[in-house]
Amino acid sequence: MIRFKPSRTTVAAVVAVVLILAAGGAAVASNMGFKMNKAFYPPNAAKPGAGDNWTSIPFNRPYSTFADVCTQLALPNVSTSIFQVNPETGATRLCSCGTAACGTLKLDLTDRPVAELPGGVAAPYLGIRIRNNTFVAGTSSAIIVGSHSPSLQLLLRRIPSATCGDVTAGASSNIGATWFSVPYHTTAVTAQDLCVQSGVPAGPSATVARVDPINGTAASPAVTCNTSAASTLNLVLGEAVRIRRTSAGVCTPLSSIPAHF
Amino acid sequence: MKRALIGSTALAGVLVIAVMVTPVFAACVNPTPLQHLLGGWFSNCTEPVRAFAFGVSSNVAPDTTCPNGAASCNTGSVLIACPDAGSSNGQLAGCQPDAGTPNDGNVTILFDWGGGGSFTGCPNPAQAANIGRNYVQVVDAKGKSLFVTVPYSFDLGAYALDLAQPDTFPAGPISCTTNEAGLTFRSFTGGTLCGNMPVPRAHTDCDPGTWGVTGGNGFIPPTCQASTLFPLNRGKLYRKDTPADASKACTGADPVLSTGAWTNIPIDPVANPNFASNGDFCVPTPPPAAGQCAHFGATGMVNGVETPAMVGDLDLGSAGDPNAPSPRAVQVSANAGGNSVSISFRTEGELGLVGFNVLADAQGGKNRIKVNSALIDKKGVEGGGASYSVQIPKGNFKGAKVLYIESVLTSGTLLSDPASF
Repeated sequence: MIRFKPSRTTVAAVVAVVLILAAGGAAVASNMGFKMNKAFYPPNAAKPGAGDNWTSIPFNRPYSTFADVCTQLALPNVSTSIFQVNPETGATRLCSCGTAACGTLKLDLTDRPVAELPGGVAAPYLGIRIRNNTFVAGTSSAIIVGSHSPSLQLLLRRIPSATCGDVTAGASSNIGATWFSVPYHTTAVTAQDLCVQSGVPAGPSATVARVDPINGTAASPAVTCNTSAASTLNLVLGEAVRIRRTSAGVCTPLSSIPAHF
Repeated sequence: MKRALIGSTALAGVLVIAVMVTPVFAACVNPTPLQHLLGGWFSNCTEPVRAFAFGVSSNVAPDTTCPNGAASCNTGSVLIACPDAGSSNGQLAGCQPDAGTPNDGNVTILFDWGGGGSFTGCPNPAQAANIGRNYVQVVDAKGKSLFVTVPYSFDLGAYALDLAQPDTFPAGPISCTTNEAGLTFRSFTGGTLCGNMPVPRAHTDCDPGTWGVTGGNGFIPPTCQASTLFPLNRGKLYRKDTPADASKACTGADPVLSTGAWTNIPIDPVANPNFASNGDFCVPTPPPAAGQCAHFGATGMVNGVETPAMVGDLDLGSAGDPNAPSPRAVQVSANAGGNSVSISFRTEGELGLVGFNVLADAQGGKNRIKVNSALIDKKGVEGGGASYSVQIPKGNFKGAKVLYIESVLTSGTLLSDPASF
């Protein structure tokens, strides 16, 4: 009798399908296009980080600016804020829906000078944080659409390194922190899968963190690549996660093409 | 045992001293923006503009993260004022479009306590409401200023300056002014500086009609809690001399806010007998050397702690200013009607001015006589210009048809061009 022993890839595929189905059947993933029903959760004063809805956005999408996200996802003005981190400079980008500022901030950072872009190129793989005090758990959601870009490279910037010419004194801890829009049809199941796929070297060479929008940051501490903790941190469909190298390593960004089904 | 006890005691002492001497306050782990978030901006701020911000704790748990006020939490040398939309702040974040265009007088504030740069402290590590109230001091190139305070808004996830601004959307602007904080200049002659140093007025999220009070009528929960506002008082008076710059003059230079760059002349208004209770003062301080400008600045006190940067007017003393507006009367006109002569004129600046006389050329210009009965008081505020309109009985002119306005200064006089009627 031949006993069925599923491969790791098979398990990943099954898990991905289950996740997609668990998302309410509203998410349809393929290389051609996505339609994702993304649930949003409100802040909770007792749980820091709760309500920080870190959101993956397809690499090809009909949203160019933060304002496009506000309008096309029908997010309320004033109370909704969109937030992003530029991993090249560490600068944070925040605006409130309905303001002119949201209209100038581009999701792929191309409103900034080339010198402030990771690797000097647009970064459509960056996720955003959506926050609103009026979100209702279990009720608030929005449809996110788009498609994948199979050749797009994820670039992981080094952390500040004097060897590479960076100013390290007073450097932002956001430098090198890439909030990665994990593709909806990723083959990665755990944080460790992302570590491997993004090409971080062996050893404790990077950390991966997700923010649990329901229970906050305390419920989802960052894990270190190539540890058992990384292998047990499951990714959540539609969530962006933070990847940050822990040692400067090579000066050029680590480049990889996100794996997907 | 005894040696161990002595050793451990000594070690503990060293550690305590080390902590006291070199306090370490980490920047926020999480993004903690201090910025205009609801489309607001500050207006009427002459560029270049500088801003400085700090957090203050009540020291009642859990609000204990900035125990020594600005000494514990401040924006240090990071540039947090955005002069225009095309600029970046000191943390390389792109400025809001609401900062407008260069030299339009509009500026925004943009800073992240969790970002990079040389600054101290994290006012609100847990990102909780009403922890580590932030204060922002803005001073422009003309000495105009703004002083604004907002709490952390849990709902907005930021210290949003808009909370202290009118609750329109975008938030209505508030203006840099010369009369809300810092110094009011009166005169600086003969080695004596006279002026007024008001208790600084801060715009707060408890001001009527602000986002902090109304929440935009349903958009967000109001933040105003009057009990969280810290008491304000006068700080100290400082002086800084700089070379007069023919191109920028004394009142166009890049303002320097940090008290470290100033000399406390030294005046603590609370203890100084030269200060009246309303803030009026005349204090001795030498005139600047030839070719130098003397600048005066004032700090404030927040919850009993002096602000580490100037809270208000800076570029007031300008004895060496080659470009200071003259207190000479201009655009003088006169019209005779009925039994009086109506005279109007204006000034562009009134530094060192005491008042005016009206002189008339009597006897065909052979004898210039004063026709006003009392000195005409100056009206300009803080050295600024003003417009005047006076009526003088026709009989006082003794037949003269030409008059002059004489500006009486603290040292000497200036005569206007003649006006006929």
